[in-house]
Amino acid sequence: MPPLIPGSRLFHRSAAALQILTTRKSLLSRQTSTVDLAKSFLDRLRRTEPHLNSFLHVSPDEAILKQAEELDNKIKNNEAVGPLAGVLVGVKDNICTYDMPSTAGSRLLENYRPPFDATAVRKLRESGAIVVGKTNLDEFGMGSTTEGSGYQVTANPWDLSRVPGGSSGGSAAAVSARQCMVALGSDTGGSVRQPASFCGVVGLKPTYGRVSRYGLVAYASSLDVIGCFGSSVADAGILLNSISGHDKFDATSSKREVPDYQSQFVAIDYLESKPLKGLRVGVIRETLENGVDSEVISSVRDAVSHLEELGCTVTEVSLPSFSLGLPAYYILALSESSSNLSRYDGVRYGKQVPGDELNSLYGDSRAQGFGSEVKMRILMGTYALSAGYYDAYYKRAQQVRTIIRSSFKEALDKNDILISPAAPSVAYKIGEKKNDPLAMYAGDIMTVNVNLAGLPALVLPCGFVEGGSGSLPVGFQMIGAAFDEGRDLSPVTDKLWKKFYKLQFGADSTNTVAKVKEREEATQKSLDRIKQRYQEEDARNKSRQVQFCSKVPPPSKKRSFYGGTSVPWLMLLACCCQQHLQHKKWLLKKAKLEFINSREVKNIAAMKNKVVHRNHSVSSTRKPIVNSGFAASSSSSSSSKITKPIQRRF
Amino acid sequence: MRSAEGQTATQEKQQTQLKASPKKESAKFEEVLKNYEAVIGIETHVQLSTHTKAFCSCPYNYGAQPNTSICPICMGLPGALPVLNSKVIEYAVKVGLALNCKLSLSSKFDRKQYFYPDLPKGYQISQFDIPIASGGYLDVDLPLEFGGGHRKFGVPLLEIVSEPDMRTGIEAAEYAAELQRLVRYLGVSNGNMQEGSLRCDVNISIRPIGQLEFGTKVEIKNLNSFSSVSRAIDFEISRQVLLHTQGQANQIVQETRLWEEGAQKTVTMRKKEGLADYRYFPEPDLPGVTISEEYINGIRNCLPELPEMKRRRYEKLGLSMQDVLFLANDINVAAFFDATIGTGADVKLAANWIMGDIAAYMKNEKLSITDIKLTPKELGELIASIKGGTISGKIGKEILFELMAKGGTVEGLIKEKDLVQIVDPAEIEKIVDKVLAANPKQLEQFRGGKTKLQGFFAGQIMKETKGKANPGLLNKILLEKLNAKS
Repeated sequence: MPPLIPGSRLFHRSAAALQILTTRKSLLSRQTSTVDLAKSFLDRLRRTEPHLNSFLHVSPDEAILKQAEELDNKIKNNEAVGPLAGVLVGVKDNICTYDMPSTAGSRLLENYRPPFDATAVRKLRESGAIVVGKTNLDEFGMGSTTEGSGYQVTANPWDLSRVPGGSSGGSAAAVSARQCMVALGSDTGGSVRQPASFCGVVGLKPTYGRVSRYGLVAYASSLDVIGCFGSSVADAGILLNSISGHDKFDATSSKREVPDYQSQFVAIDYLESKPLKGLRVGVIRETLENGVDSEVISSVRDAVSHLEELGCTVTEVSLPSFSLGLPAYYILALSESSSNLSRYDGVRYGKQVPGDELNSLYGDSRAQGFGSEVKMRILMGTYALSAGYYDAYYKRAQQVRTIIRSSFKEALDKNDILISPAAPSVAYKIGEKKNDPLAMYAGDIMTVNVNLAGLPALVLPCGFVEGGSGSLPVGFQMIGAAFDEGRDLSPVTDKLWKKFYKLQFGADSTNTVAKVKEREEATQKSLDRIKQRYQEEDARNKSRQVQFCSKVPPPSKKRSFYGGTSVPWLMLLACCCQQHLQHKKWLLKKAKLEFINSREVKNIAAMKNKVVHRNHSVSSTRKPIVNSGFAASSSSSSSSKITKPIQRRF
Repeated sequence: MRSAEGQTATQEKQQTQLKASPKKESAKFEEVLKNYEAVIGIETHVQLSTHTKAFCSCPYNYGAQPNTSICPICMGLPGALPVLNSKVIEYAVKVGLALNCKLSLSSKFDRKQYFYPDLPKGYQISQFDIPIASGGYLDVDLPLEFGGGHRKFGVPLLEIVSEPDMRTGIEAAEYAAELQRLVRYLGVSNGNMQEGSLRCDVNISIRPIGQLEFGTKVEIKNLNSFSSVSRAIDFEISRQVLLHTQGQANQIVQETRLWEEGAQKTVTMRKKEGLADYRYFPEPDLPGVTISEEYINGIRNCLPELPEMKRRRYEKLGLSMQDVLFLANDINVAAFFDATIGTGADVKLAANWIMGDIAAYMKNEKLSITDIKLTPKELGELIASIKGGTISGKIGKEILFELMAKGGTVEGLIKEKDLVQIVDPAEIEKIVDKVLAANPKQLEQFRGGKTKLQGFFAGQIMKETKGKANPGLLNKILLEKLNAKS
C-alpha cells in the first residue's frame, strides 16, 4: 500500500487549483467544467477511500454529476451561480441531509434518513455547493480519534497507521486527502480543531451561535458548534460565510450581522514588510508547559516568533483557570448528552429491538444501539445530574465555566488574539489510546476551554514533527473574541488570512485592490528576503529534512518547501518549524497525572467502576470511592493501572 | 384562596357527600368528620389555545387525526431544536397579571427528564426554579410547563399550583371554576375539562383539628368536571377520616389515586417509591426569557375585564346575585349582555330575556350564545320595541325565536309580518264591534252574568288582529262595550 501522504502521486499536483476562489475563476472563465472537476474529485476519492475510510456514505456519481451538469448549464447560459458553485463538500454524518443517511456514527441510527436538511447544509446547497457524502466520526461526536465510530476507523492521510483525530476525523482526513474541497464538521470540545491539527488542514470553530445548530445531532447543546474545514484559511472563511447567520429554527443562533469575510482578503503583493504591525498576540503560558510534546511547543514557539517578525506584539498571558476547563467540560458535556440522547428509544426512528413490553424495547434498543463510549458518557452524565450530586458536579462546573469565560474576556481585552497549540501532541497510533479514555480526554485540554467560553478559534498548520512514514503536521490555535471571526479574528482574517490567502494564490485574486506599485515591490523584496533566509536555513538543516505544508505538496519525494508552482500559503509560519526535530516522545504524563489526580476524575473513574443505583444517598456512594483503590493510584505515574479496572467494565 | 362566589358545584353538595361516603349511614360519622380538617392543594394544567404548538409551527387542533400535525421538532427527530412560541409567554404573562402574580423579568427553561411513551425527546421543557410568575392573589404559583399528554406532545401547558389552603371539596371545585372563568375571560384557553384543556390534580391530606403538621398526602387524578373534583375530595376525606378513626392511619400512603366516575370512588393508581428524580437542568436549546416592564404594561393595559370585576359591576347595575352569577359565568354571555345594554336597553329586561327565553333556547338546541343568530343590537331593539309599545310582549317572544333561529332585524320582521301593535282605539273599537256582532250568543250569555266570557272575546279579538292589539287598550274598550248596552 503506497503511503498516502500529501505529495505522493495520489494527490493533486496543484492544490491551489482546487481551492474555492481559483475553482470559481476557472469555472466562470470556462477553463474547466463543473462536471470535470467533480469527476476528478470522485476519481481521487475512489482511489483513496479504501485506505482512509473517511466517508460513511458517498453520494452516487450520477447524483453528483447531475448537479454538476445543472451548474454547467447555468454557467453556459450566463446565469448567476452561488459563491460555492461546483464546490464539493463533505458533511460530517451528525449533520442532517435529507437525501443521504445521517447516522451520527451510531449503529442505533443505521440507515436513518432525516426528512430535512440541516440549516447549514441547506445554505450550502443554496450557494451552489454539491454534497459529496457523509464523513465518519466518533459516535455522536463523543471521542477524539474517530475510532469510536460505530462503523469504521478512519486513517490519517499523513500516516495510515495513525488516527485522524476526532470527532470530525472523517471530514479532516477527507479535506487533507483532497477527497473533497471543503467539509463541515462539528466542534463540542475541539472536534474540528484537533483533527485539523492532526491532518494538517485549516479548522475553524466559529463563535457559539454564529452558525445555526438546526439539523446538527445534539451532543452537548450549549457547546456544540458547526465548524469548517478547508485547505486554506480563505476556503474556511468562504465556507463560514455561506453557512452563518440567524436561523428561526435555532433560538440560540445569533442575530448579529454576518460580515463578508471574503472581502477582507488582500493580495499578497500588497503585503507590507510588517504586515501584522500592531496586532497584539497573547501566548497562553499554561499551554506551553509540561505535558505538551516538546516538538509541538517548539513548532508553536517558532510560529510565534515569526508572528513577531511580521510585526505582532507578542506577550505571554496566563490563564490560571485553564486546567479547570477539562473536568468542567466533561461534566457539562456529559450531563447534557445524557439528556440529549434520551430521545433514542428505537420507537420513532432508528434501530428497534422488538420487545414484549415497552421498557424492554427501550432498554434493548439502547443497549444494542449505543457503543460503549456513549453508554459510559450517558451514565456519567446521568450521575452528575442526579439529585444530591447536582450541586457537587453540574453546578460547580457551571461556576468554573463562568470563571473561564471571564478570564478569557480579560485576556482578550488586552490582546487581539490568543495563541496555543491545538493539541498536546501530533497524531498518535490507531489503538494507542483506545483503551485509555482518560488519556484521550486529556488530549482535549487545549480546546475545551474555548467551547466553554463560546469563542471562535482557528487552527492553522504551523509545522511538522518527524514520525510515522514521513512527518506529521502540528497545528496552532488562534482564539479570538466572540463574533470576531471576521473582525476580531480580523487581526487574523484581515491581516493573516489575507496575507496567507494571497501567499497561496499569487497575484490573481478575485479581490484585487489597486495599490501603489512601490508597495508591491517592497513586499516582494521582503518576501524574497524571507524566502532566502529560509532557503539558507533549509540548506543548513538538510540532514534533518522537514516536510512542509499539506496543501501545496512538494512535487517530488525530496521536499523543498518552495516546491510547486505557487508559494506555499503557510510558508511564513510553516517554515518556522525547523532545525532540531528530535526523536518523538509523548510528554503527556504530567497532564495525565494532574488530570487523574483531580477529584472529579477520581469520582468519574469510580463511577465507571460502580453500578450506579437510582435513589442512592450521597454518603453511600461516596464511600466506595475512597475505598476503591483509586486514591492509591493517584500517586502512581502510570495511567494504565487506573484504566484496567475501567476496561473490564466495558 | 377565596371562594365567596361559590355556586357552580354548591347545589349538589349535600347528597353527594353522603352518596360518596364509604359509610353513608351515620350521622355519627358526620360528627367524627368535624374533628378532622382536610388540607387541599390543586395543581391545574391549562392548555393554552395558541394556534401552534409551544416549540414549533405545527397547528394544534383537538381531535385531529393522530400524526397529522407533526414535524421534525415535535417528533424530537435528531437535530431538531425547539423554538419558543412567543404567544406562550404573552399568555403566561396575561394569566400571571390576572392572578396578581409577581412576574419575573427574566426566567428560564429547564429539562425535566423521564421516559414516557408520549414524550419523544425523553424530557419535558418546563420551568423549574425560576417560573415566570409566582405569589398570586389567589395564592397561586404559576410556572410554565410543556409537553406530556396523549398524542398531543408539544402543546403548551400552563401549570397553576395553589398553596394547600383549601379545606373542602366545594371550595376546591369553586377555585377550579374560577380559574376556568379566568382563562376563558383572558382568551388564553378554552378551559374545556372534557377535552383536557383544563386538568386538575388534587393533593389532599387530613389532620385532626388543631394539629399543625400535615398528614400524608394523596394525589387524585382523572377529574374531568368540577363536580367530580368536589365529590372526589369529599370521598377522599371520608376515606381517610375513616381510616384514622379505625386506627389504620398508617394505611394512608403517599400515592396517586384515580377517581372512578362510575363507582363514585377513588382507587389506587400507583404508589410512589420515594421521590422521582427528574434530573432538572437548564434547557440549553432555549435562551432565557427576558421580558420588559413595557411589555408587561402593554399586556396589562389590554387585559379584559376579569370575572371578579365584572361581577362587581353587574351588582352595581342593580342585578340580583343570581343574575350576576349567571351572566358573569360565561364570558360570551357576559359580552352579549354588555353589548345589549350598550344599545341602551333596560338592564333588568335584558338580563331577563337572556336568562329566560334565550338561555332556554340555547339549552334546547344545544347551542352557545355565539351560535345563535340573534345579535345584541336586535335584542336591544326588541326590548325597546316592547317598552315603546310598538309590539306586544307576546309578539316579542315570537320574534325572538325567529331572530335566534334565522336572524334578521326586529324592524324587518315587524314589517314583513305586519306585526305592529294596534294602538289606535278607533281601530280596536271597530274590531271589537265586529267580534261582538259575530258572537251574539256569547254576548247574550255574558250579559246574563257569565262574565268569564270576557276572556273568550279578548281571545277572539286577538285572533282577529293576529295578536297585534294592545292588550290594555283592548280590554278597556272591550269591557266598555260589553257593559255599555247591558
